[in-house]
Amino acid sequence: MSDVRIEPPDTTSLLEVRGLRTEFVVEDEVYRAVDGVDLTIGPGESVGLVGESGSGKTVTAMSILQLIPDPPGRIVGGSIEIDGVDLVRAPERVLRQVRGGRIACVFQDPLTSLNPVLPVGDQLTEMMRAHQDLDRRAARRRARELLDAVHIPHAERRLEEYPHELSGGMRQRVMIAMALANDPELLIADEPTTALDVTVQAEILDLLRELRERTGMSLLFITHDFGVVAELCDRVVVMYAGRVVEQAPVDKVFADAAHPYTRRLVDCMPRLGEGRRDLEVIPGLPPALNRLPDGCAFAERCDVVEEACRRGTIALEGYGEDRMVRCIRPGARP
Amino acid sequence: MSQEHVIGQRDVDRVSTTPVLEVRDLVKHFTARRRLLVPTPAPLRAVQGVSFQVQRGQALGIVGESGCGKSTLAKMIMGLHEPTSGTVLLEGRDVSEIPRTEFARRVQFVFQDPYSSLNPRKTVRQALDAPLRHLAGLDAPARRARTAELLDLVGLRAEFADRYPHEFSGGQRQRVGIARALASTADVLLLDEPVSALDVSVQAQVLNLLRELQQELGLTYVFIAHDLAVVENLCDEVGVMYLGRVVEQAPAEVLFGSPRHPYTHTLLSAIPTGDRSQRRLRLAAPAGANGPAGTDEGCAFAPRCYRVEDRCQTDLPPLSAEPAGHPVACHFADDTDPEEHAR
Ligand SMILES: Nc1ncnc2c1ncn2[C@@H]1O[C@H](COP(=O)(O)OP(=O)(O)OP(=O)(O)O)[C@@H](O)[C@H]1O
Ligand SMILES: Nc1ncnc2c1ncn2[C@@H]1O[C@H](COP(=O)(O)OP(=O)(O)OP(=O)(O)O)[C@@H](O)[C@H]1O
Ligand code: SF4
Ligand SMILES: [Mg+2]
Ligand SMILES: [Mg+2]
Repeated sequence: MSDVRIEPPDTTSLLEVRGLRTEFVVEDEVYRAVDGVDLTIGPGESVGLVGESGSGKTVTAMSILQLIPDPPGRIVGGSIEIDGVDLVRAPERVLRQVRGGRIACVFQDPLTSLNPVLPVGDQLTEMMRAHQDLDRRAARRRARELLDAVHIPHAERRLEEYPHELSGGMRQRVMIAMALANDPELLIADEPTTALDVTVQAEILDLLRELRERTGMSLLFITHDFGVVAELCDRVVVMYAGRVVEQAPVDKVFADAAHPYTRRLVDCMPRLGEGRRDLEVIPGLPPALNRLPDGCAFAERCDVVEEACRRGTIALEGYGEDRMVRCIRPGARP
Repeated sequence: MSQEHVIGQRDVDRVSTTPVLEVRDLVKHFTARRRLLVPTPAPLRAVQGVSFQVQRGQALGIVGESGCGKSTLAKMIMGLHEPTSGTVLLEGRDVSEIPRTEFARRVQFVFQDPYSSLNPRKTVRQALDAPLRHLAGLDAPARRARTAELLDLVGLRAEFADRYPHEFSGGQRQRVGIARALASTADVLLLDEPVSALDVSVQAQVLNLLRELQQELGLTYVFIAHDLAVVENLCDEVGVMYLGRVVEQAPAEVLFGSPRHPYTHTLLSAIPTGDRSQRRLRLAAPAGANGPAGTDEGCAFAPRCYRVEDRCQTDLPPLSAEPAGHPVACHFADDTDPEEHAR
């Protein structure tokens, strides 16, 4: 580890997101992409963020890093605290230190996150030198080590290559190497293994687990793959239409999901050994984000909906000793 | 059984018909850039002689490690990369002799990367308009109706038609890509990781849709994916690639039920199941330890294989269905049980 770090006090959380609301305004229409998200991540904790495509997972991650393009986007409410500093209100100078330093990220689209006209080696060294006092040669050596660490073969040769010369999976590993360059306390990874085959994915999961054990790094892992969540995460947060609808320890979500959406989602997964067959689906579409309904956003598609579901805002409430659910009929079956 | 080594050949009646798509011994080398003072490295052999046939209405799955040449293979079929050697045949005709528009009416591609494959300055409607007009030949009112229908098919709201790619989430963009491929009249679709960016409920919708189209319209698919459960769910036949070569090919249920190549065994055991205590076959070396360039000396998988013996270092194992079973490129194809051999 290149720098001395003060251990965070262990009782508190590392990151605390409260009531986050992020909107996009497109042609006078307001789209509430993130509509009151609460999310806490403890030091060393690994949280999986799952949910419908378009439910606001990436926007939540981008909001945490204050990377929402404005216009059309804007954070209109809530706070995002890391060690007592509210990132929503922090000056750009502080944010620049936090991004890629204490909080690092790997995003969904490696091609747009990497600079197409710069060899990957230069991008890695630039990234490190922005945050650490390293000379060129030391940065270069470390860049090589990082490519080795994410299992990119022939690291020396790859350092000279441009992003388009790498396969999809290799680009993603370069992104992970960049994220790890400054020993972050929190790594936000937005579908980092989506483009990878299972053996490389297994290697990356091992790598992340190893890094967590060695450095105590926390992880916010956005994915569609429940198998990955189950292997890597302690806790799962499920989003639907811009809101958190369930949070629970990993094993409980799979064994018996409390929210009807989570239960249906788990049922949609194909499992090896079942052959060709029609998969379960959740008929219907999520609500339009510029016309969110009053009651439960899932009501239109829910198989245990009642009249009361559509009546007023439904709060995220405790369920059992260690779960939270946004549903008035948690655990109900049709 | 040993007869069944033609990919896509599920029922024997079809043997005599010409395959819709055939590739013969496709090879792609990328020449390394010259650099000052550095000897020019050997060309990168991304695809090293791949052959297969796909019959009408069949789905061929291609799986394999990142960087093994899957996308390069698909791009050669699409004519986006000039093959170094080898041929691609569409219903027996060499595609290099088929005019572009005619080819585009028959074969469409869904790209792996939905970010770079959509034009950022075109709304969804505009993106769908070109194939609907030029390939499907529809007039304006028909295009409007078809656009709405296509968006509905892939599970997007009708009002998304007038939005730009950057206004969409990753999964939404990928669905636009699928809608665009369906907008043409194509009956052969090359799908490069079409569902890996989708959440499982949308993924289930898209897989069901692809299966339905396959049954109703007799569409033919080459389906590249890394999620083996997804491949099993959709595909009739599966080819496993390793460093530019097919190392095993078989009907899906055979491949997943009784794999023969050590690499296939390794892939299957790497699937995250959530069971943290599950024993995984660990590869003896990380991905690509043997170098991306590839050689003809010995088996490319040897540096990582649990079954390796001396012979593997020197002899290139041919893809062969002998002595029994489906084609595998391994000297010990009949004796690869990881229970017996893996450490
Ligand atoms: N720049 C933008 N302009 C307008 N709308 C946007 C913009 N970026 C995101 N959105 C909208 O915000 C919503 C949430 O998007 P987000 O990318 O967070 O989804 P996601 O949960 O990450 O989905 P996926 O799993 O598909 O990646 C989507 O409905 C999307 O259309
Ligand atoms: N335009 C190019 N120039 C040079 N090398 C390339 C080019 N495109 C691909 N390659 C190389 O060819 C090999 C195969 O790449 P390809 O993209 O086909 O892999 P893939 O199997 O699709 O991997 P992934 O699962 O990661 O998408 C890789 O080593 C890659 O770096
Ligand atoms: S609140 Fe009602 S509609 Fe919403 S998920 Fe629960 S039961 Fe279904
Ligand atoms: Mg996303
Ligand atoms: Mg690819």
